[in-house]
Amino acid sequence: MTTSPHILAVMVGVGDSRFDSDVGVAPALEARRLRKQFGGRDVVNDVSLGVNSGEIVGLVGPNGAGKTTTIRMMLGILAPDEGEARAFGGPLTEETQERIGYLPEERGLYEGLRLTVVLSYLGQLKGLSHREAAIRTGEMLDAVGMSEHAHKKVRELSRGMTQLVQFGATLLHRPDILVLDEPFSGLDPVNARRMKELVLEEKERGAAIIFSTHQMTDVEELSDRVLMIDDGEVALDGAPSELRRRYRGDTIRVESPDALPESIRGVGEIERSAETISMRLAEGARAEQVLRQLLDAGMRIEQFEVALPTLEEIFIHEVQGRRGTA
Amino acid sequence: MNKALIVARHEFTTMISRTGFLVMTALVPIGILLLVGGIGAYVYFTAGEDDESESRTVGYVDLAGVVSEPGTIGTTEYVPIQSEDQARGAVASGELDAAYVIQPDYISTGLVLQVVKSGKGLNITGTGSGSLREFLRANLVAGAVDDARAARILFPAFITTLEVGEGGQPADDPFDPATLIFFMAMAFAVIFSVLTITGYLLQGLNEEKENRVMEILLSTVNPDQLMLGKLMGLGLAGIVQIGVWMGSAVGLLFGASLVLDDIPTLGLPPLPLILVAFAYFLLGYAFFAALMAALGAVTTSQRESQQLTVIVILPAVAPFWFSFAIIEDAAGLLPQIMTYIPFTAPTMSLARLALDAIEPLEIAVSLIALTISVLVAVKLAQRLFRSYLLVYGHRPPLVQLLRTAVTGRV
Repeated sequence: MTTSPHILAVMVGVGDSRFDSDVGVAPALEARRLRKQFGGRDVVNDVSLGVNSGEIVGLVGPNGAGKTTTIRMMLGILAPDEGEARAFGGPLTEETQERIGYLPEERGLYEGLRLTVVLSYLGQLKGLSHREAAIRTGEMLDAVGMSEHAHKKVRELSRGMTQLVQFGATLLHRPDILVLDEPFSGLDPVNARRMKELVLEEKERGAAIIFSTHQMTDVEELSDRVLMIDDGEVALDGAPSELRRRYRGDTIRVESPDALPESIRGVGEIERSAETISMRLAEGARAEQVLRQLLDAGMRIEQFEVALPTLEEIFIHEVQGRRGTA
Repeated sequence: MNKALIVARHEFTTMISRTGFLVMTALVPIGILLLVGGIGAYVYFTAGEDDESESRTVGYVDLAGVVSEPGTIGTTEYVPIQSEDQARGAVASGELDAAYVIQPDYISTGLVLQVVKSGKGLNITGTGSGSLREFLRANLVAGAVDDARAARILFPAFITTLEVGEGGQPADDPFDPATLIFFMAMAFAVIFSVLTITGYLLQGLNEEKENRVMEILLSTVNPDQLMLGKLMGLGLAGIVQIGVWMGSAVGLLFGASLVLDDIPTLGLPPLPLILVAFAYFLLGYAFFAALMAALGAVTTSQRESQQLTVIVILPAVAPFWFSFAIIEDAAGLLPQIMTYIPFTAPTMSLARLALDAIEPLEIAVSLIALTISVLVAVKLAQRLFRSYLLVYGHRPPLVQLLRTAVTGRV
């Protein structure tokens, strides 16, 4: 049996925030101890991360955390003061850069040019021949539902339409790596859904995808792994389910037809709703101790769960914790 | 294909399809057409008045044997002269207003040497080459008319000029209207085209920064390739524009000289001088384009960059501020200094070439100095280009820009 590079990469755990890609198969896109200063201030400080083929990584972090600077260094747009950006196991080169599709945070295209001209130009810069670029332009405009506007000038399009076209330009050359900075912001729900479908199609095709966002629902919906950058450093790294478990909260939810015993040790605040009872665990108390007391009291338990936090709650908890405002 | 070439092709095709570029490129030929038409109309409507008010005596040396008898055309009397030497002497002494030496091979070539006193080279109506043509036609058809003579009736004379000094010898520095017109036009065209094209370069850079296309470009093309591609593509557009301007100017004037008798026949200056003019265009373009690229990299909006462009444009047009002083003494100290300053060298050198007031050594030194300036400007621009293309919102302080220009570090 043969093992695909992607599977092998996952098996050896090269997607972790700190790794040595010389062991096993290297990630498609990798940052090694990147550091960048602006005006004497560390904007990115010792950031390492990797994205594997067929994987979607959600990059989150507060405003000014260093996400965009990290992305720019990983793409070779900015030169790091220290560290290295790599693609496909080697340093970034003109050839490897051609295999990357990039959608920057702030969108725009040449206002006075027709869509076909703009897309063809960007496609050729990504290594397509003039003819290939023309063919792919038609296909891509069709894929993003913009083929009827092919010969319009960019300035004639709405902002959302321009964003779709730019996303199409990002996919034009069938990149092996997709880097999307805030891809869904400003899109209406229908177009956002279409774009997410395209992102998932790219993942199915085997592309390594990293996208930054402030929308935790997007991360939960799309990401295989979440990376949080704060104050120029990697603050969190893991699969969404793993993070939720790691940040499992102190709230227990119980569903039962019976009333609670009068006294339960290890429980603080209790909230009752029509169907659910929420209990806050006291400091040092454990959920299984509470469950045992309820069962010992003869209570019929229909559902007992330690409530998992949402990624948004984790994000807020982590940011506030790092700033000492929790 | 090389990325710089892809960028160059995109910039070129985008530029030549701009309405502003097309209008500017077409306006100059239209302007020349109107100018030539105006001169023609002036000559046509004033020729009769001149003929009535002034009488002239013009000599001819008939080495081809085509003139059967002397005659008078309008107010110009044509008198036979025995030799070119006698004609020179008579013109030099003022006995004759001008003289024509009809060359031995005139029937096959149409060549006639015009002998005038130095300084009359641009006197369009003065010696009346139109009346000479009429005089020749009259004599040519006086006998049997064969095919060759019939051709000469249609195009009787292609005049070359010999300017003579007081002693009747050829003048040391004969005045050449073709050179004057060519290089003066070239000087205007170069500065106008260079500033227009580099203005578009700046505008394009600002647009790419403002709409963030720059980030997409830089994720594939390195800043040096991007800058090189832009300079090549827009430079080619500039060459096309100047080519259209100069080509249409030469073509229209040549055509006009065939149709209107009293417009002097203009040819092109010698090829080496044309190449020198072309070198000044290319180097001037590269110098200003590098400066504009640096400006485009460090500014954050079109408005801001347009304000700063003045720093580049004002010195570039300095030769025009001092045009009176330059015309008065084109070989003076001020024009000499401006010949070596990269901002003014292209225009000033072309203007001095037009006035025949620049030595070959000066041209060589000027071109070397300009080449070095271009290399330095491109290097500085590259450093600023690499460092500040993605700076949005605020322009870095001047001290920081200077440090980056010198050291390459932000």
